[in-house]
Amino acid sequence: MTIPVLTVNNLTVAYRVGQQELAVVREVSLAVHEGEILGIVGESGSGKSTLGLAILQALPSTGRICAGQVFLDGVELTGLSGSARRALWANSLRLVPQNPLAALNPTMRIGEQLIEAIGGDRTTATAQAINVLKRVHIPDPARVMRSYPHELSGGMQQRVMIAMALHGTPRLLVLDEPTTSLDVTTEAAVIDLLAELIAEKQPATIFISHNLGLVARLATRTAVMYAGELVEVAPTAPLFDRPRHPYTQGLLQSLPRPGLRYDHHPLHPINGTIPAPGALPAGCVFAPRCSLADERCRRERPSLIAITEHHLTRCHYWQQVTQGVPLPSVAASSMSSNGNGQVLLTTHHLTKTIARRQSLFDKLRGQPAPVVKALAGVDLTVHRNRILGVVGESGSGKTTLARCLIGLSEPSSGTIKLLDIPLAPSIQRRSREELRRLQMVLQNPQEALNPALTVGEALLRPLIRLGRMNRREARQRIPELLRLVKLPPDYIDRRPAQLSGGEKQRVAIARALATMPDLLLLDEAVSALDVSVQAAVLNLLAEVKERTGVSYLFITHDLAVVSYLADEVVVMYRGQIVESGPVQAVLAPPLHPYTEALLTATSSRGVRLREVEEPDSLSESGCPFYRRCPRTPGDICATTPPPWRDAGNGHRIRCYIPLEELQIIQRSVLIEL
Amino acid sequence: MIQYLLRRLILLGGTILISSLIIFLICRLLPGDVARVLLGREAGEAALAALRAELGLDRPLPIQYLDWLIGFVSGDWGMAYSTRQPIRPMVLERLANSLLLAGATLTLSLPLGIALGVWAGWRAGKLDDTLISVSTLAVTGLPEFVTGLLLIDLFAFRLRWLPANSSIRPDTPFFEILPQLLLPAITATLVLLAYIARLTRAGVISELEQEYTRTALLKGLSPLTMLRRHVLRNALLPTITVVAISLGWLISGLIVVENVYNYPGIGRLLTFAIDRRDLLLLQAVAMVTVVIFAVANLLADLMYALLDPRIRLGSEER
Repeated sequence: MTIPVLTVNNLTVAYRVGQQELAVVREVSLAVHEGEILGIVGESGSGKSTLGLAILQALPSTGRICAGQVFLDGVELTGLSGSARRALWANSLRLVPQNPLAALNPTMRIGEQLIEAIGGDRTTATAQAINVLKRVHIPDPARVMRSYPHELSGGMQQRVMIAMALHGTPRLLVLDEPTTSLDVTTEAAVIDLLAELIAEKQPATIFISHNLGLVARLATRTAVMYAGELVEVAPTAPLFDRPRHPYTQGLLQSLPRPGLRYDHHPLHPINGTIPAPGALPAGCVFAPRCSLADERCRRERPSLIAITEHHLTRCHYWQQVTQGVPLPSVAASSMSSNGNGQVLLTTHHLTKTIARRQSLFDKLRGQPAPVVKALAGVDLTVHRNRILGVVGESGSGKTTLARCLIGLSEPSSGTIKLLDIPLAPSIQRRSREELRRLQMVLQNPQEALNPALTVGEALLRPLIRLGRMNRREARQRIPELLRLVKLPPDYIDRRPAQLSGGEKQRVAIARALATMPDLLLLDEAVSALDVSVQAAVLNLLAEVKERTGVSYLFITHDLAVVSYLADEVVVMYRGQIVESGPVQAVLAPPLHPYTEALLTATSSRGVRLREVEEPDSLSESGCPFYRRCPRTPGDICATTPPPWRDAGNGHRIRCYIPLEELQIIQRSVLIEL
Repeated sequence: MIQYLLRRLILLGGTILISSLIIFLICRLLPGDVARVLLGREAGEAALAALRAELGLDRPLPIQYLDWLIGFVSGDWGMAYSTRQPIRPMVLERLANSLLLAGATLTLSLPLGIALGVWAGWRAGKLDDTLISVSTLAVTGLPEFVTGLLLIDLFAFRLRWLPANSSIRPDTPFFEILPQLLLPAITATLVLLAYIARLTRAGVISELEQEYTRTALLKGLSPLTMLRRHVLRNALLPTITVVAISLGWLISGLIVVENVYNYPGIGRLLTFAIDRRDLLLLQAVAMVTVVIFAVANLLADLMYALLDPRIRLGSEER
């Protein structure tokens, strides 16, 4: 075959931490050909981003390439002079980073930044900038050129970054989690665009992601990275179908997949946590977490061996890694929903309007203040010992809903009833008993736990304040709580800094469970966790529900998680519920065009939404989804809110398109997938 | 923008009004009887009462306050008890001198401080960074009367390059003022320098770590272009606020420097007024200082908004 564009040879990268140097990428070798997309997957801390920056010769000042070489078209990059490296940066090496807002200079107009990247004569560069913006499907390039980064939506910002990375003729493109900060529907469109441009410009591409689904969709070959090492490299399809490394297998088994349900199929998380750089095991880096590991693995580090011409793995016992993904074991579950059917919490026409700043003149003229409807009439019901999933993209009002339920923000109108008794809107006026019954777990345990309190102290507070226990009783209860969330008893004296991300979230869950609540609000509670840790927390949630009879209101943007964990689901769009019902009925097949777009976003042939700028200015009258709807809506959609339609079995949907028609459309979509 | 300006101006008026009340009350609560200070220990009760009546000090406090405030706003700042001279020309002349000194100090300290800060930030952790940080801090640590006397000793007595005394007058020609300004300005610069340099250094270091600096690097820009276009502009934004706050300090806080060089600034007028229990003069000086502080802060906020597009004043946030 041809000579690869990029060759990485035994690359070792270290960061200076205090006095010592810690190697975070070790002895990585790989090659990428023209037009090829190499996916690099791995959990946080695996060194994948560092590898990307090292290849681009753009490590932060604390990082250093200790050994090995990087060749681009046969030229060694590590020893280049400053000016030669700058020329390569300008012409051949490109990066699309994770967070476009941080990667764009906030005080410079988009046009200036693009022109600077293109370089050369200003008039030519300007014309070229407009062309390349058109090329990334930006509808109004002239306006975007004049804009500052913060004036654009996240999707538009990332399109600008892509334009910056793909002007001219790039030779090497590094995509470092390019869609992680975007909503799923935007992510889908951006991935489509990347695939299109890579096919056109044919750079050698490295696609770094923690999202296995995206890598499976975009990459031709995939490398799995763990603790700074490549543990498996193979063409994408065989790698996912038939992994030959226990870590790859573990990652795949951690994913909640269609057809799996929390009450029948516990997920298979990878035990333990990724070793810290500087605290690596002597033998195989994965041995401490591996079920196949024996004495040999702990003693002798395996090398990356080729088991076929294109399939490499770093495992002594790769032949024993047989089963790709175990078929869902339909084990007869003892899990039943006790107290089934009893209504726990209801909301009736809950609204929350947030006033925007009004101009002084308008105020004097007595104009009503402009408002944003964060919640526009939400009715929902949570049953005892059931899990209600709430899905939607950012801005859909999910978090506002949770904040209203827990009493952190007061709804503008509507009622919340707990066991048929209205709750006070503000948390200050709720009784201790009411506070005890409703608890919440937030997305980021790092920010939710007080770093100064030990785990024991953090758990003590709710027990005493809301559990009406004295200090001694509360202390006795703590080991029990730690057992419930599967933490060792000696964690009682640890502080958050001594815990991993998953352990912190367990503490947060234990704290919320301390008061034996009836309903736990989980606001993106597993979204910040790595897949293997997320699987363990999902298992934990399923088990806790079974043992304590608690109900969950589970807020997430991740449909795979919701289809695994929820019993019922509501789909929210811009403050309104557009579809609700039992999770199997709502998601398989999806009826509402918005649900359909969410669900098919991960597929290359899925339904794509129109991107609209500033949907705030939307007229309040019609269907909230009208302007982005992928189905051709009628005029009535723009003027009159659609009615609720009943699809049977408690499945309801707000759309003008007749149910039968939607069902037909959906069935054809499913066949295509 | 215009709306924002309007709102800020109203707020500015409110701030000044409240300050005026506080200034007035503090001055009245100061221990010591003006009449007794003016007439001396042996004065009889009758004479004291007569003087109080003449000065209006026997009237109720609210009346006195309103009378003073209206006078102040309309430009009638009254007569100083101590010198029997109209207050306004006296204060304004000193204010002009102080502004001159503040301007000279900023002209010296800003370019020097920013240059040192950028260099230290660019070379963070290296020897030159340490040298700059330690030396500027050491100089700032010295009190002004020490640096002032050392400078006089060196430049005025040993080298005879500059005059030791800076007691300029309104009729002093400009080319004579300049050398007299230099030593006090250098002394004040030495106080400000470390502050400006360290702030700039911190700004440059944090900008260099930003992802958009990496984006700029990957465009293949030369280090100088990158520094100028991407780092400096954002790194220097906080410096604006510092300049605004220092302006207030430079106008009214240079009491020691003014005393060392015998410079007729507003700081020395303030000590004079306190010394003589000259309440009206004291109030006028304090009010002028408050106005300068408030206006400087407003200007800083406006500048900030002009330079940072993320701040859109008065308009709604997205």
